[in-house]
Amino acid sequence: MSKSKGLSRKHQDWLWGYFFVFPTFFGLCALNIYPIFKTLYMSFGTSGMFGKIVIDPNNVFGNYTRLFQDMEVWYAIRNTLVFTFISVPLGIVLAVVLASLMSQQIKGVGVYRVLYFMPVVAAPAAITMVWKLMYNEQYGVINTLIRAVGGPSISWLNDTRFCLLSCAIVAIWSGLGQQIIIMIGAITGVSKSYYEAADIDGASGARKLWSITVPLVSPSIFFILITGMIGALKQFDIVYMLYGKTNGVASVMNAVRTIMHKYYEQAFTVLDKAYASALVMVAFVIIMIFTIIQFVAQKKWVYYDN
Amino acid sequence: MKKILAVLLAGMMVTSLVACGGETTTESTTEETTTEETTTEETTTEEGGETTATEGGGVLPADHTATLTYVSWNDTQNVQNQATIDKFNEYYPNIQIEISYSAWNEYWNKLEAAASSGTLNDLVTQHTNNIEMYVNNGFVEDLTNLADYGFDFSYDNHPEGVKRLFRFDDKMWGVPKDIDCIVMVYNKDMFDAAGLDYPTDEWTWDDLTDACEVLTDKDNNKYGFAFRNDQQGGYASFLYQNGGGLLTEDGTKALVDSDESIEAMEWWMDGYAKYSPTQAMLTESTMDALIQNDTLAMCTDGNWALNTYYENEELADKFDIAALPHPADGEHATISNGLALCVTTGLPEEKLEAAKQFAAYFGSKEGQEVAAMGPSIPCYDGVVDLWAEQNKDLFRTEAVTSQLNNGYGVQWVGTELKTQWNQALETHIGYIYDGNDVATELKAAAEEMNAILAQEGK
Repeated sequence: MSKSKGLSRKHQDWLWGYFFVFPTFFGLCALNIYPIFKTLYMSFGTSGMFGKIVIDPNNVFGNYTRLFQDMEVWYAIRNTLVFTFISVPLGIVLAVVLASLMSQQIKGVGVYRVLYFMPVVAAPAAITMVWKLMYNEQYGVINTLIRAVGGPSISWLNDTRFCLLSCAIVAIWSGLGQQIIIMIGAITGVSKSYYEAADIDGASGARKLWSITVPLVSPSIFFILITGMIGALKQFDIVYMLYGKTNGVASVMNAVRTIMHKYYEQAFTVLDKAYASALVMVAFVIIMIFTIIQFVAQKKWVYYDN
Repeated sequence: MKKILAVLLAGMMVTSLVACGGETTTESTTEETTTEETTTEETTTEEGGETTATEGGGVLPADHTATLTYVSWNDTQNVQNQATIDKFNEYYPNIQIEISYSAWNEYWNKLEAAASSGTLNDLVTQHTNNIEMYVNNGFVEDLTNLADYGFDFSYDNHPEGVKRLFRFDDKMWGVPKDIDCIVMVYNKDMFDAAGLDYPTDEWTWDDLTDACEVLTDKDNNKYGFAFRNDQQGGYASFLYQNGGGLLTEDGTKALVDSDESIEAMEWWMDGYAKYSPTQAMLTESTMDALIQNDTLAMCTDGNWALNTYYENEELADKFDIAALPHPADGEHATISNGLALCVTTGLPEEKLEAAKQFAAYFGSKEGQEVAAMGPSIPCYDGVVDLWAEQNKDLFRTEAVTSQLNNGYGVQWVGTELKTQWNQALETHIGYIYDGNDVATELKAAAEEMNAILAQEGK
């Protein structure tokens, strides 16, 4: 009894700390950690209906062998990587350039910031619905404008050369605002004295951007690179909203379907949850590899103050 | 002080998280269990067979109280369902039935998640694609003895075609709700402009292609017929018309690789190349939009979807329907399907009785007649003519009645693993629409389908 009454201040603080952290920790375990292991378990079995999983000890890697022989899975991996390599670098370059432009004290900069941030708060379903109408080959706004200046109608959604680009455009447009806000925060934190020194040396705007701004905000760039890349590798909702479960033409679907879209199809349309679990484990490994590469590479180009 | 405030705030956030997580159905079932415990005594005495039949013939007492949830995927059909519920409430004012609606795209995902977690709605609209899976896993109540619930209910009054879909092990697992078929929708203005006679219910495939020749003008963005990539609403009927089909009669093997099926699909794809808007166009714009713009002259659609056309002011006078054309040396056939109302297992006694009572009313003559305002057709024998009467100003109902009453409907079949073999088939059809050879793709599809079908019943 006397012991608890005389808990030291330090122990009391710890107790409160654990108490506050507990709900999040509990949620993390129940909703993130446990499903990861459950999915791993499921990926080794075959699915029955309604979530029943049966593991056959003779055929533990059956789903994985089937996966590696399934051409649609390879197409999905390829599409996801192409999508990532299109949308992430472009998005980051645009974010850095636009953020540095919007960090200046020009008139109306607040309006620009709001305009660029608005896509972030719009619902993804609404965004893709509007873009789908705009991309319509016959009646869409984009093709109407192109025809008005004499160009050919482009089938944005159904031409295998353009479909991933169309998705990437929507992804960049909707994610740019968030990256810009983070970059603006980082750029305004750069000490003015560096720029003054550069002005004395006669540096141009672009030179200042490349040699002063970028290195000094590189931790933030690293952050948006990692989050942008992971988000792009997990891309599902834009493809699902623009194409639905399938649009009936195999070549187009094979050119645009991402890993997560294939996962959704396997888990919820075909109801083969074990195969889907194996697929998502492969996706997990791919994302992890890319993230490790980035973390190792950061030593080369990210400057931390310490 | 600060710590107390922080704890309160954290507590509020956590409870708001937890509270939002539950569905309203789980909340209502927890309410119901408390009320049903107090009334179990009364219901068990009724179970003893004392029929206090109300006027009109239900067996439960008129003040039987329960709240049931009922889910379907078609907002328009819920108008018809609500009509049945309202009339039912004249007999049983205290049985509250709340209809909810999930869009078709998400309906089966949500249902499967609900079934796996034990939160299925009490009354569920079921479909032949999925019913066997739910029955075999014990989620559907056995409704064979529904005639015990009065309202002159009898399964004899429902068409065999629909009953067959929901009968397993000689037991009935759902009350047949409606019957449907596929019809051909045509654009009267485009036919007038081309100087052609409107399609009749006796058209052959050659009549169709002849009309398409005249109507199609791709340079001017005009197309004759939408040969779209859709199984139930598109090519499947035509496979059966030629003597082929999706599965064999007993549902154990694929039939898509038979010569007749291949021939029909080749005719279909030939039409697609010559007279049809591309599949890309059809996914970007709906068929009613294309008809409205005088881009498309004819398409196929299910009768349950006709409200898309007649509720559109621009389109209501412009369209009409006809029976599907048939090959000159083949038969009339149209894919016919029927939905059923099913009761979920595991309901407390009071709700189960109420659900079965409603199911009996739903399948009775009066319950079905009250829902005849369309667009779906209640399947009780003879009600289709009542439906035709109520809808005759909207479109040529003979297109539907001639197909259904003459037995041209071909039952659209589902099996336990349909989700899997359907995916295999649809993948190969997707390649056919890409330009691959029809025979090769259909044979490959049949091989995969047979491998999956062989696993059923194990």
